[in-house]
Amino acid sequence: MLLKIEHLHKNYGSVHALDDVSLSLESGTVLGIVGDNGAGKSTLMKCITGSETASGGSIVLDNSPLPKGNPYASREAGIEMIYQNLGLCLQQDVVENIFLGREKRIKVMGLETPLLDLKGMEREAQTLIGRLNAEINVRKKAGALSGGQQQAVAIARALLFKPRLLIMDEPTAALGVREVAIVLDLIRALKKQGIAVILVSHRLGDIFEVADRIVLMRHGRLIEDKLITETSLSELTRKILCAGTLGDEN
Amino acid sequence: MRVYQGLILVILLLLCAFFAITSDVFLTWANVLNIFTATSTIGLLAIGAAFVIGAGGLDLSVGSLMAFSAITGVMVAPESSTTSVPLILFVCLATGLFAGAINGSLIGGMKLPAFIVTLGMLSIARGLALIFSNGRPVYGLPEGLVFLGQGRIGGVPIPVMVFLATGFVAHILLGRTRFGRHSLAIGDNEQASCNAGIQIFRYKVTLYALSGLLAAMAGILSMSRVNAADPSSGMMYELTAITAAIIGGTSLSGGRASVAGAMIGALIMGVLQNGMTLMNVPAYYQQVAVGIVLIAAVTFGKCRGVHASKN
Amino acid sequence: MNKIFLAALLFVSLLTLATPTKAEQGSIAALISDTSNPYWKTLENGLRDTANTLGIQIDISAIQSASDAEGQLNQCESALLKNPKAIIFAAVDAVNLGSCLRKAAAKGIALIDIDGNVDQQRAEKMGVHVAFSVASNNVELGEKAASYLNGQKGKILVIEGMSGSQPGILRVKGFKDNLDKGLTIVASQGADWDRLKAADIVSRIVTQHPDLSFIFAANDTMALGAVEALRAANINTVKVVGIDGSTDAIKAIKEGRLTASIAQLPYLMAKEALEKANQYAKDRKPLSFEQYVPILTLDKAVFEKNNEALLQYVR
Repeated sequence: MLLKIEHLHKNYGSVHALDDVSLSLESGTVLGIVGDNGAGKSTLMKCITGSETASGGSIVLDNSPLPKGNPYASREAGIEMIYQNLGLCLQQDVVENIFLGREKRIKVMGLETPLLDLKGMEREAQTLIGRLNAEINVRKKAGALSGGQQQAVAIARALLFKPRLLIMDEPTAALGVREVAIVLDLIRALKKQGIAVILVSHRLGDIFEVADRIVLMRHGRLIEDKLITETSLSELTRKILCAGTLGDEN
Repeated sequence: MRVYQGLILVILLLLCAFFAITSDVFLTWANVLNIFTATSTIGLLAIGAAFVIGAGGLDLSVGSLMAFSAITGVMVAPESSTTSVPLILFVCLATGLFAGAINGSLIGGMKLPAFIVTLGMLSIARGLALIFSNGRPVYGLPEGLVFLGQGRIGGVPIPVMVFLATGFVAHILLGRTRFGRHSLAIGDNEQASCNAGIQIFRYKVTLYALSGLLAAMAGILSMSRVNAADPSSGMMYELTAITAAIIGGTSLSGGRASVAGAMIGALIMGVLQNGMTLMNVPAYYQQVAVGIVLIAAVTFGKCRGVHASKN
Repeated sequence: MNKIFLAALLFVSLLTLATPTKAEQGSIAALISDTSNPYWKTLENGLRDTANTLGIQIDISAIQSASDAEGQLNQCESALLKNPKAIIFAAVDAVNLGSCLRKAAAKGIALIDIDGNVDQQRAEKMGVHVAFSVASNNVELGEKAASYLNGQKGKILVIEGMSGSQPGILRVKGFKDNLDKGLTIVASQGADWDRLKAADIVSRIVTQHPDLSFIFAANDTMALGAVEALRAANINTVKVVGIDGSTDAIKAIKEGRLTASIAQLPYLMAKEALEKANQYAKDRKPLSFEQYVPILTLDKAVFEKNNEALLQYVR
């Protein structure tokens, strides 16, 4: 068990953004999280990445407790997040984007010079992209890539950190059919590499394509927690729509 | 990017060809040196502009900082030739650096718009220069200082050497170091850069300080050439510098910059001015020419799709 | 892409070989100030017309702003390349052209100052020998202004130029030294050659001295400022005398707003400078350093009578 979240609470004053949330995740599996706006998805992600501090409960990664509200600790533990806007520099090329903030320098006799190791970074970028089975010319500017390709670059950048858990926020939201297929393939490639993925998305179809488990959140609580095989697209859709009219409990 | 710089280099050479036809002194070695010498001041400012604009900022104060740092430097040494030149140089450079750092701190720390902050500094620095010097040029610069502007080493004027050397170092800095990379990334997507761990505040302070330092260098060269520290020097130079940087391919919205391009842009304007002077074209026509070249260069760049962003 | 680059480079190199490097002989270069100022525009016209009459080639470079020291230096360097036989220059300040003029002197090019900005001693110290200076006599400008008012009685306000400005100092000195006992100076203040500052001073002084009779301003810009201030205060008994004879001043004199102006004659100055420079370049006969250009007192009467020979140079 890679990730174990137990009885997580987060209060903003009297508002319960997270109310007794517990879930678990294995390496090499994909967890899909769905829920309307205000359900608590972002808060949960922020607690995991350390942008927010949980008010109660625990997060344990690979049997070590994760320090609360500490982005560096989360990073160190191998947790990476890719935001919806991807955070790419559109006028820089793929190599530059992947290595942003972590550029490699040329070493002369063991000493680091201030000069960048352009060839080395290009090679490594090529390898990372290759591992994702994406066919991209790494010298192209990020702004000239398609949505799916940009997603690949963002993932490649996250992979540089050698993460164990990758959180993806609405990766397919603005993409066309072909692009979506590319992204889903990328996620499958990540699974193969043994990386755990949390997929936050409102596109149930995509989740059902790649996820192993799916959870439904509302008002800060976990309403459903099922294996993909235990449920279906239509059943889940019904649960999401119904609960709005009949009340919280199902 | 490199393609674009190659193209404006061709434009520069074509301009040279044109002027070579209209004046038989244009392509002499002496005149070529003149062009480089005259361009060295703006050239240094243009290099600074490339960095600052590439990082998404703007420095309108460089012209005033030129005069301000020069005046401050020489006020340390009243009219006498025995005063230490290194001291004057140090004070000049430190003034430019410090003033630039103030710009950067206000812009990066208090998130004030660069346009406004540097515009304010433009006025303040100019005012202080006039106050310190009582509104009049300061004469009697020491020998060693004058040599910087008027001397030659191996037949090459020192301002030209300073310009080319600075350009070389700046080119490496922008394209081959983390500093340059990060500066451009900040101009491209500041939020993403911040998320990637780049210290935005520190970079902004450093970049504007660098711009101020280059302005001080330009001020030193300028005053040593005319043998006086003039509080009115450098007026409107910031616009010419920004023009040169943009002609050279630096994007006003940030994320893209070129030192080589800025230098070529400055040379284009230097060639225009020199060539038109040799043709006896009145100064006002030269201004029109510069404006036309700027608009043409930007249009040209857009048409070639230098802008790669889709979103 | 590389082919275009190489082609351009080749083309330009060929041109270098093709054009002869010998520059034209016998031309004269002139470096003057900002021609948006009518004074310099008139001076430029004088240079061109005289060059035409004499049949010599003149290369005029004018800077874009009156304080562009470096720009003028660049123009000087360019002028030098054409190997002129003489350079007529109106330097922005006492030293900015030093390095260039030294080179010119070494080449044996005659150096002539126009409009009196050069400091002869400083120039000699820099190794620049200026043959002579063609300018108006600033002391005489002030003296003539005083002469114009002499014979009358009353209180005078003197408006000086920018502190430290040599022409201003000389004009005021000339005025004060030549002034009759019957005229008393009640105040003497500097207005930095500025119209508004002069107006401010006048507004203040007329309230202090309601019986003020005359105002002398060291240049026309300030004189016209004084005129405006008087009009605003509804005073039309005060006579105002300026210096320069600028186009604005002439208009004001003809309209009766300005009493008089001691005019400099930039057209004549240009003519004399070019003629003397041309002569000097030929025979190198030394002239005394100060080559003063005639000046002319202008008032409404002078224009109406229209029999002054020098009026032809008032343009």
